[in-house]
This record gives sequence, C-alpha cells and structure tokens, in this order.
Amino acid sequence: MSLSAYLILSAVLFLFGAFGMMERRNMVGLLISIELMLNAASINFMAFNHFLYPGTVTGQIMTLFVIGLAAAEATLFLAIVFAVYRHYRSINVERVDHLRG
Amino acid sequence: MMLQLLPEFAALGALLILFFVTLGNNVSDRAARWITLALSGFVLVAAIAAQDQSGLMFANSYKLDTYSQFFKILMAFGLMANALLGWPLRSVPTAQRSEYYFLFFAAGLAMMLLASAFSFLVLYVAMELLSYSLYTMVGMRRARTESIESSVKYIIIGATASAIGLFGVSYIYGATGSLNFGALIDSLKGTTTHSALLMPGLVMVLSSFLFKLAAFPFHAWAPDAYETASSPVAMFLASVSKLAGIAFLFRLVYMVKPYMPEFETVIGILALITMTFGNLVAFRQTSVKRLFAYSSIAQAGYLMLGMIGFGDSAPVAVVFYSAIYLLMNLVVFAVVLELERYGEDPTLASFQGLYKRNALMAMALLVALFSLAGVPPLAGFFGKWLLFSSAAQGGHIWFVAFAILNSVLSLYYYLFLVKAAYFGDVPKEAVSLDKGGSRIAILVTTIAIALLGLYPRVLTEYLTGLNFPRSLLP
Repeated sequence: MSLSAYLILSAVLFLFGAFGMMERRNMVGLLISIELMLNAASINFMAFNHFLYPGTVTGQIMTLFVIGLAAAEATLFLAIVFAVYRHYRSINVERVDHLRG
Repeated sequence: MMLQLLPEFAALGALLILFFVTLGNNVSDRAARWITLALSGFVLVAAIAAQDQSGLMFANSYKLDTYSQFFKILMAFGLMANALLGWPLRSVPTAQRSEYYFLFFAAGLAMMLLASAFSFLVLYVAMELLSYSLYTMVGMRRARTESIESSVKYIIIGATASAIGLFGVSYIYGATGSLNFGALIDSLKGTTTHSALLMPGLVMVLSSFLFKLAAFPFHAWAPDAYETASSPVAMFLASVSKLAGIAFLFRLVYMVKPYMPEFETVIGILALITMTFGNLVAFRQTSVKRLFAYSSIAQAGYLMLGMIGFGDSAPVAVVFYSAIYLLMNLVVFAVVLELERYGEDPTLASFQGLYKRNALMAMALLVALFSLAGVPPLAGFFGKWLLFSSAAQGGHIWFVAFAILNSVLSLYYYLFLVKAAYFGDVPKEAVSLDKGGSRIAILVTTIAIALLGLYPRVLTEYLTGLNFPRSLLP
C-alpha cells in the first residue's frame, strides 16, 4: 500500500461526508456524515505520519485529539438532537425549520 | 510558567470554582452572579498583570507576545462587561443560569488560548472548546423553542466548518511535517514551489475561520443564533466571541500574506461580499437582534479588509478597531437588554420614543450607532479610517472605495433606529426604564467611545509602542 492509496481513501471518505451533509435530512445522518469527515482527516494524519515522517508522533497525537474531540462533539450533538425532538417531535431538518436562516 | 499563563490559569480556576460551587444546585442566583463578577474581575487583573509576558511555550506551540497579551486584556474586559451588563439573565431559564456562567468562563478560556495559539493542535482544541460552549449557550432560552433550532443549525454548520478546517490541517501537516506555525512559515519561505497540498490546506483552514467570524459564505448561522438566543448570549456572541476569531485569523493571515499574495485578493473579495451582504440584508430586518447580527457580519467585513492592509499599519488598525467594536456592541446590546424587561425580543417598535422614556439610554444608543456607521468624530470613524487607509496603503484602493460606499449605506439602517428612538411616540405598554443597574456601565462605555474618537492618539500610540509587527512575525 502506498501513501496515495490512503490519500485517495481519505478524500473519498471526506467527499462522502460532504455529500451526506448536503443530502441527508435526518440529524443522526448528519452526525454520521460529520464523523466521516473527521475520520477522513484522521486517516490523513496517520498516513502522512507513517509514510513521510516516520519516527515522529505528531500525526498520531493529533489523531488521538481528534478522536477525543469527536466523541465530545457527538455527545453534545445528540443532546441537542434530543432537545429538538422534545420540542418538535421530529429530527428531520426540514420539519425543524421555523427560522428564516 | 504559572506567572506567564496567569490569565489562562485565572480563567481555568474561575471555571473550576463555578463548576464545583454550582454543582449542588444550592447556590442562589444572586450568589452565583457575584461570584462570576468577582472571578471575571480577577481574570481581568490577571490579564493586565501578564501583559509584558512573552515567549514560546510547550514545544513552540503556544506564543505569548504583545499582540496576544493585549487581546487577552480586551477579552477579559469583555468578559467582565458581559457579566456586568448581561445581568439579570431574564431570558435564560433559572435552572440553567449556573451552567451559563460555567460555560461563560469555558468560552473565555478558549478565547485566550486562541489568541496565543501557535500550532494547529492548540488551535483545534481551543476552537472546539469555544464552539461547544457557544452551541450550548445559544440553546439556553426560556419561552422560545426556536432557540434549540438555531442551536442545532449552529452545531451542524459549526461542526462541518471545523471538519473542513481539520482536513485542511491534515494537508498542511502532510506538506510541512509539523503542526507548528513556525514550520509552516519556514516551508513557505524555503521553496518557491511548495508542495501542492499546502494551498488547499490553507484555504480549508481559512474557510473554517470565516465561519467563526460569520463571514460570507459561512454566515447563515449568525442571524438565527442572535435572534433566538437570549440577549446576554447574543451580546456574548457579538462582542467577545468575535474577538477570538479576529485575533487568530489576523495572526495567520499576517504571517502567510507575504508569501502568498493570492491570499490577499481572496480575503479582500470575501471581505467586500461579506460587508455588502450584511449591509443589504440588514435593511429589511424588523427584529432588532437580527439587524445587529447582520450589522456585525458587515463589521467583520471591514475588519477583514483591514487584515490585508499594509504590513506596518495593519496590526494597529485591526487591534484598534477590535477594541472599538467590542465597546460599540456592548453598548448596543446593553440597551437591547434594558428594553426587554421580561425576556421578550425587542423589535424596531420597542425602540419608539426611547428618548422620552430615558434620555441617557437614547444618547448612548445614538453614540454607539453613529460610531458603528462611522460618523466623525466618534471612535468608529477613526477606527474605520485606520482600517481603510491601511488597506489603501497595501494597494487595495478599489476595495477601499467600495468599503466606503458600504459604510455610507449602513448609515441608513442605523438611522432608522435612531429615528425611532428620538422621534417616535412612546408605546402604551412600554415598560418603565427608570431603574437599571447597568446605567453607569452604559454611560462609561459611551463616554469611552466618544473620547476615543476625539483623542484616538492615546490608544494608537500605546498600540504602536507595543510593536505588533515584530511580535506577529516569527
């Protein structure tokens, strides 16, 4: 496996995530899309670290931080989605659209 | 180290103290408020005490210099003013008030970290801490379920922006082999043809910061969040939280700009679109908080224009305008808070006859709005003059011409409010404005805006003495 294989994988994952952000209407689906984008970045960090800068740990440390913060973000997001469900009885973004934004 | 990081430790300590004090839920509202005020005063003292600190810390990933320390003072001042003026938190549900103060200091700590961030790791962690606090604060609202809707919109847009930024950081890491800004600049300096990954990476990081500033095309969350969030939170978003985005974005732009001239044009064009969009949409607003959301989008556009100004004058211009921006928004939102006695959202109609109800507040509003519009001799005029002349020196004369047009345009909707306040009739159901603890704070801030317009040299000379260009360039 070469570096470019990993880079292509992560780019494809990132685009899937971005596409999901535009197409998904379910809030949990949006959360999954965000996680895909974050994991794409993590794969990049690990791949660059392994192939280009072996012997250092910068990319690995960054990945650990990303995993931790992604977990925190998912918790917060789900908490807010719960609150939305209590008020709107739906977690579809099109139903939750009283504002003009 | 303790002494060098005094403001950060003070904010962290305040956060922990509030967390444990309010844990048992047996602290009265009043006590929590006084504790918050005292702690924010302590943070301000700490920030002033640490103003001369400098140096690189934590494996070159955290930089203390005159620029970061001055921004920390501004932020600590903004925190204290928010604690003072935001009280009482009428529209925040009673049970959540102690959590509000906890998040208040969490956001404060994150902003200070952002001002000093010198590595993408610190940047990412600080930005997430700030964003998470704000997502939660926006949702805290009594009697308006839409606030939870704007909270969910905010977190969706915010999380996407930070994921894009993080992906950009991964490319920058691939190109430079380090997360340090120092390494980034070295690799920009070293090679004429940098790795192909560097440019897309920088653009992605930049776009995630445009989100923090609510700049076009990442502005969509701001009007909803300002309108539906309770007013103290809107004040927080408009005043201090924006400073953090400015402080960091300018540091990055200033370092990268000499090596990437195309960056300047991109930011210039985005600045123009941002200010024009903010000003044009502000015309049609009837909700005052929404109007100020668009007005603050436009103000972010002016600041972005100043960021691409001439190297030696741009830092002073940006920092000066940030300080003025903080003061103006504090006054405007303090008046909004006074008008919503029962936690309802003020519309243009609630400003009717403000002059007859309370002349002092109408005067404060007039000064702040004229200053936002850039009418001489107020501080906003001088701040804009600094920004625009710096951008003109930098060779962006057409951008400046357009920005001046914009600032004339903005006068129109600010005058709308002034007209309502001075010439409108008092509505029958108007609440009495006789009492109000924030009276003195509003007065002091208004006088500061007027005096800084008359004697701007006091501040600009001090800022010039701090020698920002030297501390910003690595």
